[in-house]
Amino acid sequence: MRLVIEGLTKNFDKKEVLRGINFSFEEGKIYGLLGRNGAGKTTFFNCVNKDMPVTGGTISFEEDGMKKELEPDDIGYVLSVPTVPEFLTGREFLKFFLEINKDRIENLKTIDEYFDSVSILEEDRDKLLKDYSHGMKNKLQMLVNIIANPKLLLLDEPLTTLDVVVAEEMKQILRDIKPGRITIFSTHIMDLAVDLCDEIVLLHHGELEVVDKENLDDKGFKERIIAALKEEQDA
Amino acid sequence: MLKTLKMMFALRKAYKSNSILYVLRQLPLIKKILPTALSQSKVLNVIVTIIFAIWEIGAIFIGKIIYYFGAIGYLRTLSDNLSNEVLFCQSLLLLTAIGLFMNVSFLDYRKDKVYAINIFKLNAKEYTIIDFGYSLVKIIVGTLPIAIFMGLAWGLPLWFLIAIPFCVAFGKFIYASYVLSTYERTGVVTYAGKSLLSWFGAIALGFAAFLMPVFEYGLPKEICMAGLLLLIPVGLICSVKVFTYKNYLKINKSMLSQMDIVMKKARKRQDNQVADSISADAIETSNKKGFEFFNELFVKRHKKLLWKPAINLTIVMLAMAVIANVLFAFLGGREICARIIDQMIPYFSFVVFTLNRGGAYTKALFLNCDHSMLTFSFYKKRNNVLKLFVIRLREIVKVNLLPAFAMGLLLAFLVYLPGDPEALKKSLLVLFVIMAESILFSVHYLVLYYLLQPYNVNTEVRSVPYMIAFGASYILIYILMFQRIPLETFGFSCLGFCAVYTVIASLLIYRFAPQTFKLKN
Repeated sequence: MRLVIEGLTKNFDKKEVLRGINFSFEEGKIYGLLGRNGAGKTTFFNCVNKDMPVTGGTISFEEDGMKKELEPDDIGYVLSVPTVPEFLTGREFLKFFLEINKDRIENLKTIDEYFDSVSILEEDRDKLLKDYSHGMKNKLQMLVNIIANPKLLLLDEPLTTLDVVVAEEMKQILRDIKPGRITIFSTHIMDLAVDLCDEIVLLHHGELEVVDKENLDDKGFKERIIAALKEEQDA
Repeated sequence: MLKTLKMMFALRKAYKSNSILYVLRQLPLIKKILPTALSQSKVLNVIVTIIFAIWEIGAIFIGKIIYYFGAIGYLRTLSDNLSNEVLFCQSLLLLTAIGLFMNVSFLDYRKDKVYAINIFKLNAKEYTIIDFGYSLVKIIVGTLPIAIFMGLAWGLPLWFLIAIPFCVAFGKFIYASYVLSTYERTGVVTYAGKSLLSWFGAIALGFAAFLMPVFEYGLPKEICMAGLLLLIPVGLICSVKVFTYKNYLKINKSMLSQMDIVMKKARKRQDNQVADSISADAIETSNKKGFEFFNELFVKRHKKLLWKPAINLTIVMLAMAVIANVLFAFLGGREICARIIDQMIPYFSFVVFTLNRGGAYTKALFLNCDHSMLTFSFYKKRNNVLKLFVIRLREIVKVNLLPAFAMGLLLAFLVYLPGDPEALKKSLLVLFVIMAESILFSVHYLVLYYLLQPYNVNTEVRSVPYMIAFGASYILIYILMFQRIPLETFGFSCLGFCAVYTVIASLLIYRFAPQTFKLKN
């Protein structure tokens, strides 16, 4: 399975933010999406998630040579600021989510098993979500997206504001679930991108471009990424 | 002085022009044909300047037309025996008295004023006096032709009609000098129409203006005329304080910082109000499933915001019904009361609209629920959007119907006071109309929320189409308030309109809501 983007453009008035992107993302990989502030990373995600109409181009899945349009169920979108309905408890939110989506969830588990999988403690499960910490909300948001098992997982700087323990847990979760799906992960943290991602993609002059690691070590690879980003500024 | 005057107009124009351009950029269709660099387009600037001029000039006259023909004209309909002259002078005196402390544009807060004083460092004294003077000139220019036109038709002498705008304008100096004196004593800037006391005063005077013609009581016109004319010398004396005051920079800075604090507090309070409205415990639960479960918990955990005010209002309405019942058992005036209510049913449309909880409900829906849920793709699926819409509609109709039923009962009782079979028919119609209106407004709020989703991701209302649609509804219902339509005609038209609107709104929701109900950036 591939996510195929052809000629994707997005303009705000006369400003071209995405300039005819042609790119293909492969199944089973985590892609680190890097770009300077205002490069259009969130715009790119919003276009893929259909939260924003595109100016031109197409976004589709390609499986066995057949192209298919993206359906809402195909996409999971995790934002940097966790968004969960604060009037529900963690358990109620999961119950609601499982009831609505029960027909399409494979290997349905109990609610507590799901909580265990992301290390949300028993005493927190029946608390209102408004009393959850930032990290716990983030885990729950991620959990819901994992249960939904989307083919494409978009993560917009999801680990930026987490403490180191939760961030490590989340990284491990992402590694565990990467088979069978495409994960695109936007971040400003270079170490995180290099550590977690299989491919680094720069959003550069409104286009996507892979940074080839070749035989470089991590330090050399980071220098190459920074050089590429600086080049954008100098251009 | 001339430089300050020019700067004041330039700032007003720039501020209002940018507001106009912002609104134009938000309108569907129009935004597509507008050039990107709007502020640099000469043609557009000319158009916007014309709109600004129409706006400024229009505002001078529209307010006065509503004031004279709407308010005083309405008071005329309440009395059969008072002469035009008495009614005109009495109403004008009482309404002008309200304006003296409720509507004075002196040291009031405006964004362009912040720029003028804080950023462009204009001379504070010149700026304040010119700004105040401009508001007085607008009063005189706007009032003069309308007072003469209406006053001559009502048989008042021309010299008095010419004096009226000057009485009103000079009267504003009284409050202005009060603001300056209070600041000298306390260091606090007072604003027209902000204190609780001034509101009580305004309500008392407003009631007097309303009830005196109802009970056919008129003040001698000579006293009213003298009272109004007295404002000129008193205003002139007070103007000395305004022109000789020295600390305008200090008082302006105090006013701006005071208002900044007030506005920040108000915004914080507003944001917290909805966030805090979630019940602190998780004891309330639900045995339902899926969206019914989701909705039931939302409603139970927002009781404070939804059901509590509705129940309080119901208790007030029922208490009023009981009090009215007791009062009319001992006092006379049943026919007069029934007649007044009979004529005022369109007025209660506005009351039903104002008391509707739809605004609070949709705000809580977005801030505490949809703002987060719309990031999940399953929530945006067509069937799920429609399923939840129907559940929510049922819920908001229920919340609003309870106080509407109580209000309907109260009004039905008042209309039934004469006790004949005709009155019984009328009272039943009143009850149905109030309940139908309540359903209509509930549908209206939720439909606007789903079709024009007004909030952006930062939970700010930024949708101009929503504001226009909501503003238009408000104006229409406001205008309806002043219509004198026979109860039967109004009642049956209203029931028909409610049915048609609900059907059309449901079709629109079915067709468009899955596309329109989403997060906006």
